[in-house]
Amino acid sequence: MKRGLPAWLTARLALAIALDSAVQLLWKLAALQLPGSLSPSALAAAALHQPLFLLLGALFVWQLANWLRVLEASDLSYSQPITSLSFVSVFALSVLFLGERVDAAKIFGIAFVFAGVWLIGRTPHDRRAGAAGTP
Amino acid sequence: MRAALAGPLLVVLCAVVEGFSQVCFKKSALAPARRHFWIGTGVALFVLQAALYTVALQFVEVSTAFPIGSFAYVVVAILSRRILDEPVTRTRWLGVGFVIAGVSLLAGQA
Repeated sequence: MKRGLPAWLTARLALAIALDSAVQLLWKLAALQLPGSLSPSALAAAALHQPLFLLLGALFVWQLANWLRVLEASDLSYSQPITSLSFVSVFALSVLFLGERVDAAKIFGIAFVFAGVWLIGRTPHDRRAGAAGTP
Repeated sequence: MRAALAGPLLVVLCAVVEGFSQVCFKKSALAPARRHFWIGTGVALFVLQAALYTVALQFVEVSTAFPIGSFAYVVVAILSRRILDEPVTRTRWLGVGFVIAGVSLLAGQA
């Protein structure tokens, strides 16, 4: 991350990544508990009675509230790609808990995501702050 | 429209809708007087994007949808530059390119 990024903003970005990871994993789990071959309306009704979907709804609201705070103090083109780190955390959690295999392509994938986030982190996080960075 | 094309095209459409949704959220921070309007529009677009994505997954595998969906990073960069007047520098573009390559490799065999 670029020097000068406020600690609270770093924490909010980390929270955004954590919430995004939790939402992705919960969504998978919740979808697995729904009966198959239902019409979209029946599927929506079934989802409303599924506790995991209610938890997902609460997480979405928290995620939105947190994200709006992030955007109050940073450029969209800065913060949004940084949340791609959730792909790395979801993969790591899938390896740890779901037994997903690790191969060379995925290691390179993680390296590329980190490199991208590092490059974006070197640019000014908020054009209104007028902070110096790499052009 | 052929089913083979419908899925990827729907995912691309999702990325575009997601981009506009994110711009609305950023607008809510830039224009406090119309904050609720922009948040409401952003949430509506987000819901539309989720619905489109659900339909798209009936035509395309997740392992294909994820890399195509990472096109949203490009859309956000373009919209941030054009609509929000953010300085999307070469370094930021390079970072976006690395992120897309990384996401594609991570999700490529999901």
